[in-house]
This record gives sequence, structure tokens and C-alpha cells, in this order.
Amino acid sequence: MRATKRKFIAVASATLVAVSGTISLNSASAAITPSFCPRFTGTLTVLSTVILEKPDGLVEQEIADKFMKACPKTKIKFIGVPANDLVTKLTAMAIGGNVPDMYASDAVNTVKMAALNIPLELRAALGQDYIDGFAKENVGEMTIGGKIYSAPWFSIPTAILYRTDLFAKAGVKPPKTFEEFITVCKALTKDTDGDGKIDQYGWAMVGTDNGSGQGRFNTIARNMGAVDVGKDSSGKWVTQIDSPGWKAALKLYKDAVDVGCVPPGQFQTGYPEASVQIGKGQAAMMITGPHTIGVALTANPAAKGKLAGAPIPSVAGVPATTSLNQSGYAIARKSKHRAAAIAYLKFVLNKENQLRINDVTYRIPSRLDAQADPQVNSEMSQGFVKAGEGRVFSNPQISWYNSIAILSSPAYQAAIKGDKTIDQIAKEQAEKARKIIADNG
Amino acid sequence: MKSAFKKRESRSGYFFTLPTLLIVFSLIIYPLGYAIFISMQRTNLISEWKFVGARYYAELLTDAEFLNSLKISLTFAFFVVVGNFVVGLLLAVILNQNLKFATTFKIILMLPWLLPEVVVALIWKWLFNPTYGLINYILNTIGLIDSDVSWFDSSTSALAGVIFVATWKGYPIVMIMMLAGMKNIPAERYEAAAIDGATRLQQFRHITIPGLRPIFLVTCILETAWWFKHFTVIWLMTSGGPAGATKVVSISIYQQAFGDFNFGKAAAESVIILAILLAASYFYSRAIRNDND
Repeated sequence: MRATKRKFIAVASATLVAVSGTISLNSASAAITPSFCPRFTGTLTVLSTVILEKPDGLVEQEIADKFMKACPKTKIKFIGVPANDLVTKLTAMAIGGNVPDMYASDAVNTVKMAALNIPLELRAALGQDYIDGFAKENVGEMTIGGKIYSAPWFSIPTAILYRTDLFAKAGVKPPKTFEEFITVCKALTKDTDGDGKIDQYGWAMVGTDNGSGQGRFNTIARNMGAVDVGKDSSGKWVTQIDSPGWKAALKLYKDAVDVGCVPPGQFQTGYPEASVQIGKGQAAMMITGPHTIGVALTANPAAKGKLAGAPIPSVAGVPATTSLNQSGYAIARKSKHRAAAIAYLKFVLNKENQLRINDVTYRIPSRLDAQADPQVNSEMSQGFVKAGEGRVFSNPQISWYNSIAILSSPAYQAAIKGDKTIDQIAKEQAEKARKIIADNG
Repeated sequence: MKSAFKKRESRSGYFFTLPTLLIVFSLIIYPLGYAIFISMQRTNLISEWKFVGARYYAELLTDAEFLNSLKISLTFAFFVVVGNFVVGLLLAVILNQNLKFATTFKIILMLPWLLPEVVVALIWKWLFNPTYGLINYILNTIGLIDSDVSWFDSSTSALAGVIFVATWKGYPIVMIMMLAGMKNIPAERYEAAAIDGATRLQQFRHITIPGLRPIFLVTCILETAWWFKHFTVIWLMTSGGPAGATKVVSISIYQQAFGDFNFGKAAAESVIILAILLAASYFYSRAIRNDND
């Protein structure tokens, strides 16, 4: 009997110890759960453009993994979409009623999605103090009628990315005018190994018929003094597609191909191909953002320290202009996991993670605390930071802007082909633009 | 008594056809009707719905760009169908000769058809690449060219390029159908012709070709409809470029819907294509009927 009693006490004590041990372990694990973790148990779906890129996607995955490690109850599931197909994919998702909890959103897309009443208003969701931590220009592009529909993550101001080593060898400097641009482009086009074949070209032109080509051309046209669509002094929407500036931009594309300083196959040269050409030294300059540095270095790590940025030239009387080309994340208004999405968004945007993505991809952070870090103004990316500090052109906040933006790519392809004159091409595209404005504006 | 039985019989007739009717309605009639409905709306398919009647049809029928994309589609479909028939028939004739390892050849020749269109387009895009593509490399090595050729930079070569790749992808199905047709032609006809002194060419002309006629017509309908509305290979190789030179009507519809977000006009384009293909099918089916008569 006594033995039984002793056995009972022993078992009871062991159980108590085990239970109290569990309690303390549980309290210990509760103590280490960071305060930013959501209470949500489940999967947060994120539509991302960055996740498909290399090395950029690896960093985004790394940030998500860090979040999931800290908050094991919340899983992050990415749906990858190429940046050029983002609007298409998201529109299709919106029509089907299956918009993910969070989605990548640039300035154009933000306007379009807001018109469809898809995103959550973020000023109320994140709080004014938090909003004040963004750079003003960045958050401004995501604000429509005082409401913020996307949290800026990074910007990639368009400038000239160039190979400093190839420029030094050719004895040229980044061009300051468009005339110089062609001269420099020609000077950089060479047969470097003497086999009678040109193996280094001046300009890695993105000549594809997609958003990558359109965005670059439109930035050049703005520096020539022409906007594809804007308001005139009376507040009416007008186009300058048949203006001398737009035609000059078409001529620049044609001249560069005609003088042979663009690698062959420019109509198939998209952003990835052009980035590799820069990395491998097959081309010496490219109109792009600082994110190309990361892609170029992935193609050729030996190019580290041999890349730099310089502002795009502008014609006399037109201030040098760039576009921020920023991207951020929006939260779907109908997301059932809103709190978890906000927690993850703030995690992605914390200083450490902003600097991490900048370190690998050279994208410029949108949060002021990260922007102030000396790392952001590194030697390779300072030209882009400088371009972004200059005059920034934001696309007009109209849901039909994309219909106008896409008019540029068939135009520069036609100009290069030379079947029609530049005047004819500009006239045709301007007529289309005016019809779009009449239908929508 | 008889009439009650007839009524019951007709009710059960309706009952048995109901599942098929439901399937046909939900998978064919409803989507078609919805497309026609959308084609008369100015819509983003979510929040904006505005009736515009036949406006988009009227615009399209006078739109030079749309008419040009129809012309490109016709050219593309014509050359791909002809290419598929020439290559498919030639290979079918060779494979019908009771060759050694005929099955192995058949499997190898079927491979392009088994590969997904996306893979085919990307492989050929890489092969045609002017700077690192294998085709330029080989032509350079054997001295046929001395500088890299940009195969897709001119309108003619870009269209020829996508026609070539589509033919490469599409000939196997024609080859297999022709081969099956040849196997169905009685051997006695060839034997009788040989006894009468007909040459191989005469046998092919007067026995094989007429024997394959029904298959020709069916394959022609399927192939024309398939390639006329083809999208994948062209989109991945040229995106409709350069400057619209390979912008077939399916690319025009896609760009209208997802570039311009004008779903109404895109639906109107689709309905016009449907009408064209229905008309083509009608003429083909008339031809088949006349043939059978």
C-alpha cells in the first residue's frame, strides 16, 4: 500500500515536473515570439514580380523565410509574375475574383487597381506615423485623391548604366547630350579581339514590344521634351506623340541602329538579354535602373566595381528627367488576412530588410531610415541616386494610361525598320492616342 | 393508349438528351452568348458596363490595323497548313514504304508534336538568336555568312521564321493522319495498277491522292481553324513584331484585352474570327458532302 502510495507520488511529481516544464517551455517560446508576428495561422499569398528575378528573388525569398522562421504559424506563398505581365495577371485575377492577399504594385498599376476598388487604403491601415517614414516622392506616386493604395518598397530611377572599364578604354565619358550619346555609342563599338567581327557594342538597346522597352523609350522622349500624355494649360488631356521631341526620340533609336552601335537582334533584346550584355561587356551602356547592376553581376561577377550610373541626357531647355519606376506592395481590400498582411509588409519594409535588398540588387529603398544609410549611396549606384534626386516625372494618374504607353513600342520598331518615315509613324500613333483620349479623357 | 406511350417515350427522349444539352449549353452556348454580349459593351469586366451596340464591329470592319492582322493571320495559316501538308505527306509516303525501323522513325518524327508549344518557341528563339544562336554559329562556321544575321528584324523574315517553326511543330499530326489514310487504301488497287503498267508516280497520283481526299478535307478544316487562331509560338518568338509584322489576329485580341483593357472590342474581334471560321467550316463541309455524293 505504502509502495503504491509512493509510486503514485512519484508519478504525480514527475507529471507535475513535466507539466510545469512544458508550461515554462511554452512561456519561453511565447516570450521569444516577436511582437510583430500576426496571430494568424495559415498561408498569406503574395503576387510578386521580384521573386522571379535573379538575384533579387533570392533576397525576397530570404526575407520571407526569415519572417516565417520568426512567426512559424504564418506561411508566405509567392505567386511569381514577370514585371511586364503584372497588369495582365492582376487584371485577370481581379476579374476572376481571386486577388491574392498582397500584390506587387507599381504607380500605373496602383491607379488601375484603385479604379477597380481592389486595394486597401493604407494610411489608416499602417498609421500616419508609419506613412511619414516613406520618402515623399515615393509615397506620392501611390497616393490617389489623398488615399494611399500601395506601400512603396524600392525605386529604380532610370539613368545610364555604363561599364566604367570599357568607357575608360575607349577614352569617352558618359554623354551629356543626345548627339554625344550617338558619338559615344559609336566609339564604344569595337572588334576587341581583332577577328574582323564586332564583339562590343555601345548601347544595349531594349527594343522589345513590351513594358521594358516602352518605359525606357518614354523616359528618353521626356528628356527630348515630349510627354506621351499630359494636361495642357486648360486642364485638357493632350498628347505630344507627334511633337518634335517624340520624333527626335524615334530618330535616336533609328540612328543608333543605323550606325551599328546596337547589338544585332534589338527587337528580341528584352531587359534580361540587355542586362547580360552589359554584365558580359558585350555592350557598354544601357538605359535602365540600378537593379540591373545585380543582374549584370550575376551574369559576370568580374564586373563588380566596373559599373556606374549617369543621368540621361536632355535637350536644351528641358531639365534632365527620370522616372522612379518604383514598386511596392498593396493589400487586397477583400483579404481575409489583413492584419497578417500588414505585419508582413512592415517586416519587408524594416530597415534591415530594405538594406539587404539594396545590398544585393542596388534597388533604392523607399523608407527614409534606410535611404539615410551610407550603403545606399555606394559608388556603383550613386549615379542613379543622383538621377532620382533630380526632376522626377510621374505618369499621369489615369486608369487608361497603359493604353497610351503601349503606343511607343510599335513606333520605335517601325522607325528602326525604316519602312515608314518618322513623321508618318508619329502621326499614326498620335491619332491613336487622340482617339484613346477622346474615348476616356 | 398509343398516344400515352408516345408521350412517355418523347419525355424520356428529352430526359436522356438533357445531360448533353446541359453540357453543350454550359460549355459552348453560354460562353459564345457571353462573348457576343461583352462585344456590345464598353467594360472592364468588373465595375464598368456600358452598352455600345455594334460600335466595335463597325470600327473593326474599317480599322486598317485589324484588317491587316486578319491578312497576316490568313497568310500565316495558309503557309503553315500548306507546309504541314507538304512535309506531312512526304514523310507519310516515306514511312509507308515498309522501311526498317519505321516505328523508331515514326516516334522521332512525332517528337515536335509532343513538345509543348512554349518549349518549341523558346528552343527556336534561342536557335535563331543573332548573337548566341546556333543557326548563326553554324552558318558562320561553314562560311555562308560573315556577320550575325538578325532573323526577326525584317517583316518578311520574321513572318517566314514563325511559319517555319509552326510548320515544324505541326507537320507530325498531318503525317500521322495521312499515314493512317494510306493504310486504309486497299493494296489490291496498287497491285492492279502495277499489272496495268502504272508507274509509282502514276499510282500516287491516281490511287493515293484520291484515296486520301476525305482525310485531306478533314485535316484541312482542323488545321486551318487551329493555325488561324494560333497565338503561343508567335507571341513568344516575336510578340507580334517587328512593328506589327507578325501581329496575327489572336495577338491583336490579346493586346486589345490585356494591353488596352478594352474587353468589349477584344470580344468583338473574337466574334468576327468565329464568323470567319464558321464560314470556312461551312465551305469545307460542303466540299466534303459533294465529295461523298
